[in-house]
This record gives sequence, structure tokens and C-alpha cells, in this order.
Amino acid sequence: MATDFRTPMSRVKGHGSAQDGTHHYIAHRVSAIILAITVPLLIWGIMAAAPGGFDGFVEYIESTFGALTLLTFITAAFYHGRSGLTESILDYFQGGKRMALLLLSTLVSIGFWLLAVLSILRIWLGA
Amino acid sequence: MGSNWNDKRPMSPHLQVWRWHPTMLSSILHRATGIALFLAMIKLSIFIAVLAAGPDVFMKYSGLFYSPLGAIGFFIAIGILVYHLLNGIRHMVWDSGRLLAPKVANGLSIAIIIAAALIAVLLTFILVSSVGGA
Repeated sequence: MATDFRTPMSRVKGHGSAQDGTHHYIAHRVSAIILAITVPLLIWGIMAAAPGGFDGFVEYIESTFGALTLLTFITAAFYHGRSGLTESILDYFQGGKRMALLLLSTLVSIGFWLLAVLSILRIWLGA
Repeated sequence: MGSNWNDKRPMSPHLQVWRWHPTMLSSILHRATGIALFLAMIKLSIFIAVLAAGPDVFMKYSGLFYSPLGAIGFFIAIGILVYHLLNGIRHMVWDSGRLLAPKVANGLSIAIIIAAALIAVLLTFILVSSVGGA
């Protein structure tokens, strides 16, 4: 029984599946599950902290639970966000523009993740 | 779509020929809110950095957070976040093969949009009243 229906032309043009989508698919959903748990906690934390102004927010991050929630959220969110942006960029852009946008989204994700993590640690360690 | 596409005939699916339906709207919104949330993450990181910079720097910007503009910003951000969260959970239910019947999927699409708007209104109301009362 024939199991390969690809034409020689499709092989030459390199069309078809990239064979490596499974990792992206699963990682996107694992980070989504982490976010589904941390987002309600974070909304609750921010809303409870907001009336206290500067002291309220700092107190939230100084608490171990607040710092851990925020660190977990920030990490999962930038991972998930970059993963989703990658998906969108691959859908709408080709060639040099695609490469530039993929690189930019990676650098922005890592840069602002570091900024947030260092800021959280600075507040948490300063407690 | 290949990089050397020169076929003038319309490609399907494309937005001009599709009749708008709820699952299409929720799919486009999921993408749009996802991209918006990435930008919101940049703003959140800057907000935390401002917090870490100390009370003097924070006070320079806190007028904005606690203005009506801040409340509107919170409403939009929280609405987008809750929509993406609810629809994302629905996507994972879809992955398991459930809730895929067209009627159920379309109905849920509308329900999720309405639910996100209601939750955003409720949370903004709670926030504004708690901040106002502080």
C-alpha cells in the first residue's frame, strides 16, 4: 500500500509540515495552565494592593506569596507571549521581516522579563 | 502562502469572502488580545521597575494611575486579560474534543465576550470604589 502521496514537485519546493510543532503546542498550553492559575491570584493581589498606593504595592511584593506569584506570572507570561507572537509572525510575515520580528520579540521578551525579575527581587530582598 | 506567490486568484480563507460568525470573531479577538497583552506585559514590567526605584519616582507617575484615565486603562486591560483567559481555557477544552459543535461553539463565543465585559465592569467598579474609599 502506498503511504507517500507527495509529488516530486512538492518535495523540490519544500512544502509541507516542519515536523517540529509538537513542542511549541505543548509548551504553549503548559504556560497557559500556569497563567490560568496565577492570573486570578495576581488580579486579586493588585486590587487588594491598589488602595494602599506605593506602600500597598511594595507590601504585596515584599510578601513571599506575592513575590512568588508575580515571578511565576511574569516568567510564564513572557514565555507564553513570545510563543504566541512567534505563531502570529510566522503566519503573516516572510523573509527578512519575519527574521527581524522574531528576533525583536525575543529580545523584548528577555529584556523586559529581566527588568521585571530584577525589580521584584530588589523589592523582595529589600524587605 | 509561499514567499514567491504570484497567483492573482483570491486565496481562501480570506476576510473578504467570509461571512462573519461568532467563532471567527472570537478567534480574531484571541489573537488581537494576545498581542495587546504582550504590550501590557511591557507596561507591567515598567510599573514594577518604577516601584523598585522607590517612592519618589513612583509618586511622579502615581497621579496617572489614580486618575480617571488610570481607571479606564485598568478597565480595558482587565477586560482584554479576562477575555483571553476565558477563551484560552475554552481553547484547551476544545483541544480535548469537547464543545466543538457549531451551535455550542458560537453561543460560547458570544457568552465569553459578554462575560469578559461584565467581569471587567465589576472589577473596575470594585477597584474604583475601594481606592476612592481609602
